[in-house]
Amino acid sequence: MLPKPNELPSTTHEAKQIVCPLGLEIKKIHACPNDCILYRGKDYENLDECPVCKASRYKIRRDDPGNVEGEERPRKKIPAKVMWYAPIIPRLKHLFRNKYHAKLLQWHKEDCKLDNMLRHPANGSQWRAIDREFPEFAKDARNIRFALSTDGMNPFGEQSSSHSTWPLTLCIYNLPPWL
Amino acid sequence: MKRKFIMMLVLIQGPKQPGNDIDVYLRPLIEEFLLSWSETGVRVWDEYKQEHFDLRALLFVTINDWPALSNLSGQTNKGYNACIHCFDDLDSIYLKKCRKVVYLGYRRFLSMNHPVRKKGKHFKVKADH
Repeated sequence: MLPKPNELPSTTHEAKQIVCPLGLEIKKIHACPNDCILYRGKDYENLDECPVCKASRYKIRRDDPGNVEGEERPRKKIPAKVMWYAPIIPRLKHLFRNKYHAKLLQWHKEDCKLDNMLRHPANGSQWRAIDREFPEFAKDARNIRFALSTDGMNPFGEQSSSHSTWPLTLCIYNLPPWL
Repeated sequence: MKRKFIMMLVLIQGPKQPGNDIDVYLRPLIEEFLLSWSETGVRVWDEYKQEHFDLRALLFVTINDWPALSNLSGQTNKGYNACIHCFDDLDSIYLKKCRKVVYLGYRRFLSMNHPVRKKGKHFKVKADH
Protein backbone atom coordinates (compact mmCIF):
# COMPACT_ATOMS: atom_id res chain seq x y z
CA MET A 1 0.00 0.00 0.00
CA LEU A 2 2.77 2.41 0.89
CA PRO A 3 5.59 3.30 -1.54
CA LYS A 4 8.43 0.84 -1.36
CA PRO A 5 11.25 2.09 0.85
CA ASN A 6 9.19 2.31 4.01
CA GLU A 7 10.05 1.01 7.42
CA LEU A 8 6.58 0.62 8.77
CA PRO A 9 6.04 -2.74 10.42
CA SER A 10 3.55 -4.78 8.42
CA THR A 11 1.84 -6.50 11.33
CA THR A 12 0.76 -5.39 14.79
CA HIS A 13 2.92 -8.14 16.26
CA GLU A 14 6.04 -6.67 14.67
CA ALA A 15 5.15 -3.22 15.90
CA LYS A 16 4.63 -4.48 19.43
CA GLN A 17 7.98 -6.24 19.35
CA ILE A 18 9.64 -2.89 18.75
CA VAL A 19 7.59 -0.84 21.21
CA CYS A 20 7.12 -3.19 24.16
CA PRO A 21 10.79 -3.62 25.21
CA LEU A 22 11.03 0.18 25.64
CA GLY A 23 9.15 -0.18 28.90
CA LEU A 24 6.84 2.78 28.47
CA GLU A 25 3.91 0.94 29.85
CA ILE A 26 0.54 2.37 30.69
CA LYS A 27 -1.15 1.19 33.85
CA LYS A 28 -4.86 0.79 34.15
CA ILE A 29 -5.84 1.35 37.74
CA HIS A 30 -9.33 0.51 38.87
CA ALA A 31 -11.06 3.13 40.96
CA CYS A 32 -14.06 3.37 43.21
CA PRO A 33 -17.02 4.72 41.20
CA ASN A 34 -17.60 7.33 43.93
CA ASP A 35 -13.94 8.49 43.81
CA CYS A 36 -13.03 7.20 47.30
CA ILE A 37 -9.93 5.12 46.60
CA LEU A 38 -7.82 3.61 43.87
CA TYR A 39 -7.38 -0.14 43.92
CA ARG A 40 -3.61 -0.04 44.18
CA GLY A 41 -0.92 -0.73 46.75
CA LYS A 42 -0.83 -3.84 48.87
CA ASP A 43 -3.83 -2.88 50.99
CA TYR A 44 -6.37 -2.20 48.30
CA GLU A 45 -5.22 -4.18 45.27
CA ASN A 46 -7.27 -7.30 45.83
CA LEU A 47 -10.41 -5.87 47.35
CA ASP A 48 -13.75 -6.35 45.66
CA GLU A 49 -15.57 -3.42 47.21
CA CYS A 50 -14.63 0.04 48.37
CA PRO A 51 -13.78 0.11 52.11
CA VAL A 52 -15.19 3.64 52.43
CA CYS A 53 -18.52 3.62 50.62
CA LYS A 54 -19.03 -0.15 50.08
CA ALA A 55 -19.60 0.31 46.36
CA SER A 56 -18.69 -2.64 44.19
CA ARG A 57 -15.46 -2.56 42.23
CA TYR A 58 -17.07 -4.19 39.25
CA LYS A 59 -20.13 -3.42 37.20
CA ILE A 60 -23.17 -5.52 38.00
CA ARG A 61 -25.00 -6.63 34.90
CA ARG A 62 -28.76 -6.53 34.88
CA ASP A 63 -29.10 -10.24 34.13
CA ASP A 64 -26.33 -11.21 36.53
CA PRO A 65 -27.10 -14.59 38.07
CA GLY A 66 -24.62 -13.99 40.89
CA ASN A 67 -22.08 -16.56 41.85
CA VAL A 68 -23.37 -19.77 40.30
CA GLU A 69 -21.79 -22.89 41.75
CA GLY A 70 -20.04 -25.21 39.34
CA GLU A 71 -19.43 -22.69 36.56
CA GLU A 72 -16.47 -23.84 34.46
CA ARG A 73 -14.69 -20.51 34.35
CA PRO A 74 -15.48 -17.31 36.20
CA ARG A 75 -17.15 -14.57 34.20
CA LYS A 76 -15.02 -11.69 33.05
CA LYS A 77 -15.67 -8.80 35.39
CA ILE A 78 -15.93 -5.24 34.10
CA PRO A 79 -14.50 -2.59 36.41
CA ALA A 80 -16.82 0.28 37.31
CA LYS A 81 -14.29 3.04 36.83
CA VAL A 82 -10.82 2.92 35.34
CA MET A 83 -8.03 5.41 35.50
CA TRP A 84 -5.16 5.29 33.02
CA TYR A 85 -1.78 6.14 34.39
CA ALA A 86 1.54 6.46 32.59
CA PRO A 87 4.54 6.76 34.93
CA ILE A 88 6.71 9.82 34.24
CA ILE A 89 10.10 8.74 35.49
CA PRO A 90 10.75 6.16 32.72
CA ARG A 91 9.62 8.77 30.23
CA LEU A 92 12.12 11.30 31.54
CA LYS A 93 14.87 8.69 31.43
CA HIS A 94 14.11 8.09 27.77
CA LEU A 95 14.16 11.82 27.09
CA PHE A 96 17.68 12.11 28.46
CA ARG A 97 18.82 9.09 26.46
CA ASN A 98 18.51 11.15 23.29
CA LYS A 99 21.50 13.43 22.81
CA TYR A 100 19.55 16.11 21.01
CA HIS A 101 16.76 16.23 23.57
CA ALA A 102 19.14 16.16 26.51
CA LYS A 103 20.82 19.27 25.12
CA LEU A 104 17.51 21.04 24.59
CA LEU A 105 16.46 20.35 28.17
CA GLN A 106 19.22 22.71 29.30
CA TRP A 107 18.21 25.39 26.85
CA HIS A 108 16.58 27.62 29.46
CA LYS A 109 19.92 28.23 31.14
CA GLU A 110 22.41 27.91 28.30
CA ASP A 111 20.90 29.63 25.32
CA CYS A 112 17.94 31.63 26.54
CA LYS A 113 18.49 35.36 26.05
CA LEU A 114 18.30 37.57 29.12
CA ASP A 115 17.54 41.13 28.08
CA ASN A 116 14.52 42.14 30.19
CA MET A 117 12.10 40.90 27.57
CA LEU A 118 9.58 38.19 28.27
CA ARG A 119 10.02 35.47 25.72
CA HIS A 120 9.77 32.33 27.79
CA PRO A 121 8.65 31.45 31.33
CA ALA A 122 12.37 31.31 32.16
CA ASN A 123 12.47 35.11 31.90
CA GLY A 124 9.69 35.47 34.44
CA SER A 125 10.04 36.58 38.02
CA GLN A 126 8.42 33.42 39.38
CA TRP A 127 11.11 31.34 37.72
CA ARG A 128 13.83 33.38 39.41
CA ALA A 129 11.96 33.22 42.71
CA ILE A 130 12.16 29.43 42.58
CA ASP A 131 15.86 29.67 41.72
CA ARG A 132 16.41 31.77 44.85
CA GLU A 133 14.26 29.53 47.02
CA PHE A 134 15.92 26.26 45.99
CA PRO A 135 19.54 26.98 45.02
CA GLU A 136 20.34 23.26 44.99
CA PHE A 137 17.64 22.74 42.40
CA ALA A 138 18.67 25.72 40.28
CA LYS A 139 22.32 24.65 40.19
CA ASP A 140 21.75 21.90 37.66
CA ALA A 141 20.07 23.13 34.50
CA ARG A 142 18.85 19.63 33.74
CA ASN A 143 16.36 19.67 36.60
CA ILE A 144 12.94 19.82 35.10
CA ARG A 145 10.05 22.19 35.69
CA PHE A 146 6.64 20.96 34.70
CA ALA A 147 3.32 22.55 33.98
CA LEU A 148 0.29 20.48 34.80
CA SER A 149 -2.89 21.14 32.88
CA THR A 150 -6.25 19.53 33.22
CA ASP A 151 -9.84 20.00 32.23
CA GLY A 152 -12.91 17.95 31.51
CA MET A 153 -13.39 17.27 27.81
CA ASN A 154 -15.69 15.33 25.57
CA PRO A 155 -13.89 13.15 23.03
CA PHE A 156 -16.99 12.47 20.98
CA GLY A 157 -17.87 16.03 20.09
CA GLU A 158 -21.37 16.20 21.45
CA GLN A 159 -22.34 17.94 24.64
CA SER A 160 -23.50 14.79 26.34
CA SER A 161 -23.31 14.64 30.09
CA SER A 162 -23.49 10.87 30.45
CA HIS A 163 -19.74 10.41 30.37
CA SER A 164 -16.80 12.38 31.59
CA THR A 165 -13.16 12.34 30.55
CA TRP A 166 -10.46 14.25 32.37
CA PRO A 167 -7.03 14.11 30.79
CA LEU A 168 -4.07 15.41 32.74
CA THR A 169 -1.04 16.51 30.78
CA LEU A 170 2.41 17.67 31.74
CA CYS A 171 4.58 19.85 29.57
CA ILE A 172 8.21 20.67 30.23
CA TYR A 173 9.18 24.32 30.55
CA ASN A 174 12.90 23.69 30.11
CA LEU A 175 12.44 23.30 26.40
CA PRO A 176 12.76 26.18 23.95
CA PRO A 177 9.55 27.72 22.62
CA TRP A 178 9.94 26.33 19.11
CA LEU A 179 9.46 22.79 20.35
CA MET B 1 4.98 23.05 22.53
CA LYS B 2 4.83 20.11 20.16
CA ARG B 3 2.81 17.03 20.81
CA LYS B 4 5.92 14.92 21.23
CA PHE B 5 6.90 16.79 24.38
CA ILE B 6 3.51 16.90 26.00
CA MET B 7 2.99 13.86 28.15
CA MET B 8 -0.46 12.69 28.96
CA LEU B 9 -0.09 10.95 32.26
CA VAL B 10 -3.51 10.44 33.69
CA LEU B 11 -6.82 9.82 32.00
CA ILE B 12 -9.83 9.65 34.25
CA GLN B 13 -12.86 8.11 32.65
CA GLY B 14 -16.17 7.39 34.17
CA PRO B 15 -19.81 8.27 34.36
CA LYS B 16 -19.25 11.24 36.65
CA GLN B 17 -16.70 14.01 36.84
CA PRO B 18 -14.13 13.50 39.59
CA GLY B 19 -14.86 16.96 41.01
CA ASN B 20 -13.25 17.64 44.35
CA ASP B 21 -12.03 14.04 44.62
CA ILE B 22 -9.51 14.56 41.84
CA ASP B 23 -6.76 14.31 44.47
CA VAL B 24 -7.40 10.57 44.67
CA TYR B 25 -6.38 10.26 41.03
CA LEU B 26 -3.41 12.58 41.42
CA ARG B 27 -1.97 10.34 44.13
CA PRO B 28 0.24 8.12 41.88
CA LEU B 29 1.54 11.24 40.15
CA ILE B 30 2.32 12.95 43.45
CA GLU B 31 4.22 9.88 44.62
CA GLU B 32 6.47 10.07 41.59
CA PHE B 33 6.98 13.80 42.08
CA LEU B 34 7.90 13.22 45.72
CA LEU B 35 10.40 10.61 44.60
CA SER B 36 12.00 13.04 42.17
CA TRP B 37 12.03 15.86 44.73
CA SER B 38 13.62 13.77 47.49
CA GLU B 39 17.24 14.23 48.62
CA THR B 40 18.71 11.78 46.16
CA GLY B 41 16.47 12.41 43.17
CA VAL B 42 16.37 9.90 40.35
CA ARG B 43 19.54 8.51 38.80
CA VAL B 44 19.47 9.26 35.07
CA TRP B 45 22.01 8.83 32.28
CA ASP B 46 22.63 12.02 30.31
CA GLU B 47 23.60 11.21 26.72
CA TYR B 48 24.70 14.77 25.89
CA LYS B 49 27.22 15.16 28.70
CA GLN B 50 27.88 11.40 28.91
CA GLU B 51 27.40 11.08 32.67
CA HIS B 52 25.00 9.89 35.33
CA PHE B 53 23.30 12.56 37.38
CA ASP B 54 20.48 12.94 39.89
CA LEU B 55 17.44 14.32 38.17
CA ARG B 56 14.97 16.37 40.16
CA ALA B 57 11.68 17.76 39.02
CA LEU B 58 9.08 20.16 40.31
CA LEU B 59 5.68 21.33 39.30
CA PHE B 60 6.08 24.93 38.20
CA VAL B 61 2.55 26.00 37.32
CA THR B 62 -0.82 24.46 36.73
CA ILE B 63 -2.95 25.45 33.77
CA ASN B 64 -6.68 25.06 34.18
CA ASP B 65 -9.93 26.94 34.00
CA TRP B 66 -11.63 28.61 36.95
CA PRO B 67 -13.95 25.77 38.09
CA ALA B 68 -11.16 23.21 37.78
CA LEU B 69 -8.94 25.45 39.89
CA SER B 70 -11.18 25.01 42.90
CA ASN B 71 -11.05 21.23 42.44
CA LEU B 72 -7.29 21.13 42.06
CA SER B 73 -6.55 23.46 44.94
CA GLY B 74 -9.26 22.03 47.16
CA GLN B 75 -10.52 25.49 48.08
CA THR B 76 -13.75 27.19 47.22
CA ASN B 77 -13.53 29.91 44.61
CA LYS B 78 -17.05 31.21 44.63
CA GLY B 79 -19.18 33.02 47.17
CA TYR B 80 -17.70 35.08 49.96
CA ASN B 81 -14.18 33.64 49.82
CA ALA B 82 -13.70 33.62 46.08
CA CYS B 83 -10.01 34.42 45.95
CA ILE B 84 -7.81 31.40 46.63
CA HIS B 85 -4.83 33.62 47.47
CA CYS B 86 -6.49 36.04 49.90
CA PHE B 87 -8.23 33.49 52.16
CA ASP B 88 -10.00 35.49 54.88
CA ASP B 89 -8.53 38.87 53.95
CA LEU B 90 -11.03 39.24 51.15
CA ASP B 91 -13.64 41.91 51.93
CA SER B 92 -16.87 40.67 50.41
CA ILE B 93 -20.47 41.67 50.99
CA TYR B 94 -23.74 40.38 49.63
CA LEU B 95 -25.89 42.92 47.83
CA LYS B 96 -29.43 41.92 48.62
CA LYS B 97 -31.14 43.84 45.85
CA CYS B 98 -28.71 42.75 43.14
CA ARG B 99 -28.51 39.23 44.60
CA LYS B 100 -24.80 38.90 44.18
CA VAL B 101 -21.60 39.01 46.14
CA VAL B 102 -19.26 41.88 45.46
CA TYR B 103 -15.66 42.17 46.54
CA LEU B 104 -14.54 45.44 48.07
CA GLY B 105 -11.47 46.49 49.99
CA TYR B 106 -9.64 47.58 46.86
CA ARG B 107 -8.53 50.76 48.65
CA ARG B 108 -5.69 48.78 50.22
CA PHE B 109 -3.90 48.73 46.88
CA LEU B 110 -3.50 52.51 46.94
CA SER B 111 -0.48 54.17 48.46
CA MET B 112 -0.57 54.63 52.22
CA ASN B 113 -1.11 58.39 52.16
CA HIS B 114 -3.66 58.47 49.36
CA PRO B 115 -6.64 60.73 50.20
CA VAL B 116 -9.18 58.06 49.23
CA ARG B 117 -7.93 55.88 52.07
CA LYS B 118 -9.38 58.37 54.57
CA LYS B 119 -12.89 58.22 55.90
CA GLY B 120 -15.42 59.21 53.30
CA LYS B 121 -19.15 59.15 52.86
CA HIS B 122 -18.82 56.82 49.86
CA PHE B 123 -17.01 54.24 51.94
CA LYS B 124 -19.45 53.88 54.84
CA VAL B 125 -17.42 56.54 56.72
CA LYS B 126 -14.68 54.01 57.36
CA ALA B 127 -10.99 54.38 56.79
CA ASP B 128 -8.95 51.67 55.14
CA HIS B 129 -5.53 51.28 56.63
